[in-house]
Formats: sequence, structure tokens, C-alpha cells
Amino acid sequence: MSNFGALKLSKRSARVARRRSVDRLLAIVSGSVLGFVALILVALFWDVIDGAKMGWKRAEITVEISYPDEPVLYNSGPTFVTESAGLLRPREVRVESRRIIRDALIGNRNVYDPQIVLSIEELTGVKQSDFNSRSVGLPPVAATYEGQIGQLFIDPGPYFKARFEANPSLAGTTKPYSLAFSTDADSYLRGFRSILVDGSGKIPGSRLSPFQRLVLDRLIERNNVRKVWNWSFLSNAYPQSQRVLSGIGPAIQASLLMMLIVILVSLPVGVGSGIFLEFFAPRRGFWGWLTSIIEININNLASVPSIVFGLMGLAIFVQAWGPIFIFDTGLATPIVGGLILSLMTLPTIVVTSRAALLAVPPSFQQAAYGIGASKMQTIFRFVLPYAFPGILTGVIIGLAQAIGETAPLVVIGMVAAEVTMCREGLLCLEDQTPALPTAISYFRRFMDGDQQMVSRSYMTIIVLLSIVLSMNALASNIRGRVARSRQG
Amino acid sequence: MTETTNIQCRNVNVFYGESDALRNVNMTLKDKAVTAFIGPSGCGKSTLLRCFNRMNDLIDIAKVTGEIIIDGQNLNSPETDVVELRQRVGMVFQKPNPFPKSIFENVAYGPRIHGLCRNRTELHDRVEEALTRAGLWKEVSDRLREPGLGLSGGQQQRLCIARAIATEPEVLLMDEPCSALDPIATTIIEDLIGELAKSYTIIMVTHSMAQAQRVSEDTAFFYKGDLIEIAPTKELFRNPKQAYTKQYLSGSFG
Repeated sequence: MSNFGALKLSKRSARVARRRSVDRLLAIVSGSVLGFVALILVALFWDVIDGAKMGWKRAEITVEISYPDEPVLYNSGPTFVTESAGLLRPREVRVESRRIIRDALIGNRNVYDPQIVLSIEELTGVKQSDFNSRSVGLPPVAATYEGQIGQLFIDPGPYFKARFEANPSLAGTTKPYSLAFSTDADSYLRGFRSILVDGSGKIPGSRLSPFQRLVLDRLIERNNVRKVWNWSFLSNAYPQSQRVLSGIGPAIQASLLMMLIVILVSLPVGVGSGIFLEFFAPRRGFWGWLTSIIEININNLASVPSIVFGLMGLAIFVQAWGPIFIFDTGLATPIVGGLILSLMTLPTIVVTSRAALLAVPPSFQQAAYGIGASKMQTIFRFVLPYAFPGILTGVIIGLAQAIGETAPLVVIGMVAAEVTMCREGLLCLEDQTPALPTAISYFRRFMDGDQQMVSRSYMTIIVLLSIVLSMNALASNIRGRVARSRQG
Repeated sequence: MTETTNIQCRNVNVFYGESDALRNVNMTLKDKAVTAFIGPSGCGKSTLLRCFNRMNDLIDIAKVTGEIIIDGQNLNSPETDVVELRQRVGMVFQKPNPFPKSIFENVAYGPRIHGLCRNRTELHDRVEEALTRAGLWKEVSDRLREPGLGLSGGQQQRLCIARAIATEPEVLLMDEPCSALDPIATTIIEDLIGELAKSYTIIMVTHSMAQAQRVSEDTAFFYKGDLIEIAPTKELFRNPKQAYTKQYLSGSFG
């Protein structure tokens, strides 16, 4: 005698089938949305890595240089070099280095110093007579044999001079030296599109003359060219006469500095405000009304467009406070950028740390008060440590936002800061520098088809993303460790 | 410290904003004994319990009037140092709420903030003593550095009791200490309470009339913010004087 006699449990009724089909549909829809998102992410990363691949490496050849027995004064007379070799360098240095290259490459070892023991005939088999028999071609190219060769390389002159002056004992010695190729030669050697001069644009190395291409082809044939990792990208400044050498050193430095400022300013102020609003702020009467006004405005601040913060920062830190601020706050300086980013990050940190404080179980506070802890002890010994992972998450989100923020930095002129660069030393709070996001936009502006520069835009993206991702990894690591230590 | 810790309530009223949660409570509690507060939900028994260590201060809208006297001292006066009061009047909550710290730190925290121990050895001795009194020492002596939240529910509650008695209080307040525990853990805690009553004055709120009968010496019955009756437990349960008490005990409401 079963009590369930009246209750018939059919195994596969129509209702069950319908319910299951709905469940399946939901799973398929949500799964495909997730797949689509993953696909977009993969496409994004692939695009970035593909776009950056040209910048990974640089072409070099190794040559031997002989330092002279004693330093010789340089002749800085007029030169055959027609290429403008950089806005920042003194003319003398340029001339001198050009002549060194020329002398080195044609094997004239007796007139100038230091000399590169290298004969272009030896390396390539291209004779001066070959040069004469071929047309030189385009106007910006030097019209002499020495000039043609010299244009293929980056001036080593300043380097040799500095080495020699710093270390006179080099006199009379011979050392190997890695000679870097110039931008055009580098693009040609590695098969990338260079600057379009003739307008047709698709030919690699279109700015090189047929003779120069012949020389480079020979160097490749004879395996003289090495491709090396382009580490100088991380340390060089970006306004370089040779685009192949341009880098984001000051931009990295400025972005890290601004993050430091954000941490120093927004973390204490933001978490402090969160604590005040959660534990001390009056809730009733006139002051309570004021508290609620402030709360509403903090929430609103989080959604103010970043460019508005930029304009406000420009007005406050540069124009109004500039003279009385303890720092010399000028346009495009990390101190101003950092303060603007701090203001932007503040609401995020306040809102998230309040949420984290609110999420602390009230029973812990009760327990702490119950054994006689004061308010301060309760907050700093129990509530804050417990809320720490949540606060940290908010801070990391805010920092990641701040380091990628572009608009306010554009407003204070950090993109256009290509004419100056960070001075010597680590702290350059008051120097005009670019930052990482503005560097991306700067490199991207070379829309003339120069892959050397466009690839640097993607490389900057990779650097920026790695910083943000490693910050996130650090945060989740700390969160995980705190959670593990808390739960047995 | 005097020999007897006499607790008296005189005209205690508690207001939450406009509404009154307790009206004119007058009672005297026995020293070194368990007094149980019983009554239906919302009758004010927990509210009164929280008056004894001024936990109502934490609620913005709560206002307590009247006098609560321990050792001739009115603890409800503004001059009373709440921190010192809470050292002398420990509290155990409904749900076990150890701090998210190690077992040792849970117990050591009270003595530490009140500056009761001069050095590490003293602190360690005190932690051991508190855990022993709470009947937990044997179970945890070899894992004092492990998190308190890793213990079972009953062990956590005993840890909370150890934490409360580590500051050497005279009075222990217990707010339904067994309501979140299984029957076996409840039995252990009840035995422990009986043991602790030899050295502390214990005030316990409970929903279980059986528990009140098992554990307490005196029982107070509250209804809708009024103290209806307080009497020795046996007497109150066998022979209640008030009609409300009689009805409640017979299960007519509550």
C-alpha cells in the first residue's frame, strides 16, 4: 500500500521536454555570446601582436673600429650630407660623424679618428665603379658614393667620441662594434614598407636608390646582417632623427610616476573618505543633509567625462595654482598629469572602498566592540584588514583606468611633448614628457605608411597592457592569499 | 573588586526612535549564577541584555534611560568608560563570530588591548587558561596558529566564550548562545555554562524554555517590552504568578 498511489510521476511529460529545451536554448545562447567575446579578444590580441611585429627587431652588422693613438681635433667644415640628421643635435657632431662613416666605409684609415676598420668593397663586393655606372635616382639621396653608403647607417660618431673621451686608454686598440642600419635600410632589409616618397608606396625601401639597394642585397647575400631584439625601444626617447631608434623610455617613466602620484594622493584620501562616510559621517539634521549631498556628488564624479577633468586640471594646476604650487607645474608634466589622474581616480576608490567596508560582516564589529575595542581599534584592526581585498580591487581598477586614460593628458599637451624629453635621472616630475597612452596616439599619427612608426604604436600598446595585466595579476594574487589565510 | 557583583536595574527604559522597546524594568540579579531571559520575539530581552555592556550605544537611534547598577556604580551614566565596562562585562553572541585571525589571536586580542599582560609568557598563560575554562584547550592546543574560522560551529562558540572570559570579566552576557548549534554542541555549551556560573554572573537570553530550565537558577519573563515576572527557575516554571507567564509557558502564544 503506497501513499503515492494517487501521484503519478510520468518520466517524460511534454512539460519536462519543454523545460529542457528552454534550458538548452539558454545554454546555447549564453555559450555562443561568450564564444563571440572570446573571439573578439583573440582577434584583438592577434591584431596587436601582428601590428607590433616589425618593431621587435632591428638590423645590425658588426664592424671593427680602431681608435687612434691620440685624440685629433675634428674638422667641422661643410659637408656633403644632405639628409637632415636630427633637430636636436649640434651640427658639428653630425658632420663629424658623417665623415667618420664615410672614411670608415671607403677604407681611408689615416685622416680621421676613430676609424672603422671596414671596407665596403670587402664586405659587399660593390665597387666605386658600380656606383658610377648606376643612376642615383631620387633627390633626397646623397649624390656621392660615400654619402650613399653613409645614409645606410646610423651615426656612430657621437658614441665613439664619448667612449674615447671617457676612456683614453682605448687609444690604439681595435674593438668590434654593432653598427645599426638607418630607418630606410632597416625597413628594406627586413622587408617592410618605408616612407612613401614617390607616392606609389608599395615598394619596400622606396626611398633608397638602386645603388643602395644593391649594397643591401649584397649584405644579405653574404649573411652579414644580424637581426637583434630592439631593446632600445624601452629606453630611448621618441623624437629621434632615425625613426628606427625611437622609443618610449620617458613615456614609461612618466606613466609610472603618474601612477605613483595617484597612489600617494588618491589612496589615503579615497580610503579615508570611505571610512569617514561609513563610520563617522553624521546622518541626521543639517550635517546629515550635507553628507548626503556629498555622497551623491561623489557618485556623480565617477561618471564625469575624463576630458572635463583634464580641462579642470589645466585651469587649476597649470593656470591658477602654477606659480604658488610647490612644484613647477607646467604643461605636459607628470606632476600635473598625476594630479589630474588622482582626481579622476578618487571617486572610484571612494565608492569601491565604501562598498568593501559595508561588506564586512557586522558580527565582527560587534565582537570587537563586545570585548571592549574602541572605535579606532575596531576600524583599523578588524574592519580595514577584512575589507582590504575589496579596497585593493577598487584601487587596482582605478589605477588601471588612470594609466590608460588619454583625454586629460592630451588636454595638458602630453602628445605634443615630442620636442622635449625627460632629463637625466629618475624623477622628472617637472619635465615635459609623453605618457604611454599619448605615445600610442603619437606613433599612430604617422599615417604615411611608415610601418616602423605604426608598429611602435602597437608595441606601446603591448607595454601598457602588460603593466595593467601584471597589476591585475598582483591584485588577484593578494586577494587569493588573504582569502586563504582567513579560511581554514 | 568587591566580593559580590550585585546587578540592579532601576526604571530602565529603552527607546528606538519613537517606539519604546523596554518599559520600566526593575530587577536584581543574583551573583555568580545563571539568569535566563525568556519571552517571545521582540519582547525586549535582547535589548535589555545589550544594556548591560552598552552595546545599544552603537545604534544611533537607541536611547537608554534609568539606572543599571553594578557594584554601586551606574553603568548607564555618561561618565562610565565603555571600554572598561566591556572588559568587565563580556559578551557571547547568537552566531559564533570569531575574528578572521588565528585561534590564539582571537583569545589574545582582548587582554592585549586592555593591557592585561606584561609579556608573551603571561599572555600565553592567559590564553591557555581561557581556552581551558572554555573546554577547548585539549582540542586546539596543537593548532593555535590556525584560523579560528576553521573550527566547527560548537568549537567556534566555545572560542568566543574563551575570548570573552580572557579579559577576566565579572559578568558574562550570552545572547542565545546555542541557537545556531546542533544538539551535541548545545549540550557541551550548556555544561560549560553551568561550570562557568561558579565564577561568573551569567545573563543568558534563550528561546528555549527547556534550556532555561536546564541551565538557569533564575528566570525572567518578558512580554512586549515589560518585565512580567522574575523568579527562581523552578518556581517560575512550576508555579507562575502572572497570567501572561502561565499562558506563555503553556504555549498559548509565542
